[in-house]
Amino acid sequence: MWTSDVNAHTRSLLISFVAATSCLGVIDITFGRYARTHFVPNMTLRKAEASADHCLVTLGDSRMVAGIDEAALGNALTAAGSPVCVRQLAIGALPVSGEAMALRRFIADGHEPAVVVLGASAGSLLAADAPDPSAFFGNRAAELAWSKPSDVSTYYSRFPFGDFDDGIRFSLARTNSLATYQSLVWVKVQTLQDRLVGVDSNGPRNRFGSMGDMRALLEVFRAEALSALTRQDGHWQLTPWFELIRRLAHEAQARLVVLEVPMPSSYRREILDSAPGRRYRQWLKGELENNGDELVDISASKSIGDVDFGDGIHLDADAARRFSTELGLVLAEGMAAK
Amino acid sequence: MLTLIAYALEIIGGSRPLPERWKSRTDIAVLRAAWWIVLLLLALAFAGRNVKFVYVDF
Repeated sequence: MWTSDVNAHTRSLLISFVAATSCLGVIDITFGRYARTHFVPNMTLRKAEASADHCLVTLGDSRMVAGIDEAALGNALTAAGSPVCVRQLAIGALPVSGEAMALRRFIADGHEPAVVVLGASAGSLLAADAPDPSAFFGNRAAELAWSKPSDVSTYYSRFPFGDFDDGIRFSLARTNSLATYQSLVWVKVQTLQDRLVGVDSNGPRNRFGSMGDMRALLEVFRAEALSALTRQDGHWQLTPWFELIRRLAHEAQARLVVLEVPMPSSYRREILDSAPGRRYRQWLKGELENNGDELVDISASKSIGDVDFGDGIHLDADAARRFSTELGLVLAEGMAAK
Repeated sequence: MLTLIAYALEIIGGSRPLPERWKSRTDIAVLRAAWWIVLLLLALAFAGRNVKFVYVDF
C-alpha cells in the first residue's frame, strides 16, 4: 500500500516536471525569439554587421554610445583624407568583458574591422575582481548570450578549485536565455514596482535613464576609477578581456586605438589629473605603444564643456558631433603618420 | 466558504497533502506544473536586484 502511494506520487511529480519543462521550452521558443530580436545589444551587433567590411568599429559603454556620432566621425575622416566607414558597436552598461565579446562575435561572424576604437576611462581596462553572476542582468545579459564555455576561466581565474559556486552559476546561466527574458520582464514590471513602493518614476529622463541615476552613476564611476587606480598603483595589470580585444584586433590586422572617453571637468580634475591618474595614463600609453597600439586622449577637448553633459556623464547630440569631428581629425593624423 | 478557501490555499501552498482521490490524476499533475510556472514567473518578475544600476535598452 505504502509502495503504491509512493509510486503514484512519484509518477504525478514526474508528469508535473515534464509538463513544466515542456512549457518552459515553449516559452523559450516563442517569447525567447521576441526577447532576443528586441534586445538592444543584439540589435546593435546586427546593425554593425549589416554594413560593409573594413570599417572603423567603436567599442565602449553608454559614454561612447552618446559621444560618438557615426556620420560626423566618418565625414571628418573623409575630409582629412582617410575615408573609412564607421560602425558603432558600443553598448550601454557593458564593461570591457562585454565589449571584448561583442568584437569577438563581430569577427567570428565573418567581419573584418580596419580600426577598433575602444572607449575607456581611468582604470576600466585594469584587472578587476570577478563579477557575481547576478550582475549579468540587463544589457550585461549579452555577456551570457555571447560567451563561450571557456570564458568561465577568464571571469573566474581560480575556477574550478576556487570560485566554484560563481563559476558553476555562470556556466549554468549561459546555457539559456533566462537572464535576457528576466531583463525584458523586469523593464516591463519596473513601473509597476515603482508605483507599489511609491517611487516617482516620472522625473526627468533621457534615453539612458533618470537624471538622478545618472548623477549617482558619476559618483560610481569616480569611486570605481579611484579604487582601481590606487589599489594597484604602480603595479597595474591589464584585464584579460583587454588582452582579448588586442589579440582580436591584431589578428584582423586592425589598428587598435584606446580612447579616453569624454567626461566632465570635475571627473578629469579628481581622477585623470590626480597623481595616480597621470601615472596610469603614462603607463597605459607605454603599454599600448609597446604593442603597436595607441592612446588618444581628447577628453579635455576645447570643443566640449561641462554644459554639454546634459545628464552629468553623457554628451548631448551637438557636442557628440563636435567631439566626433575632432576625434576623426586626430585618428586621420595617426593613419597618415602610419 | 472560508474554510473551503483556506483548505484550497493550504493545498496550493503545500502545507496540506493532496486529497487521496487527486493523487494519481494526470490533470492535477499538469495543473501543478502550471502553478510552478506561474510561481517562477512571479518570482522572476518581482525579484529585487542587487546591482545598483541596471540599464536595459529593450
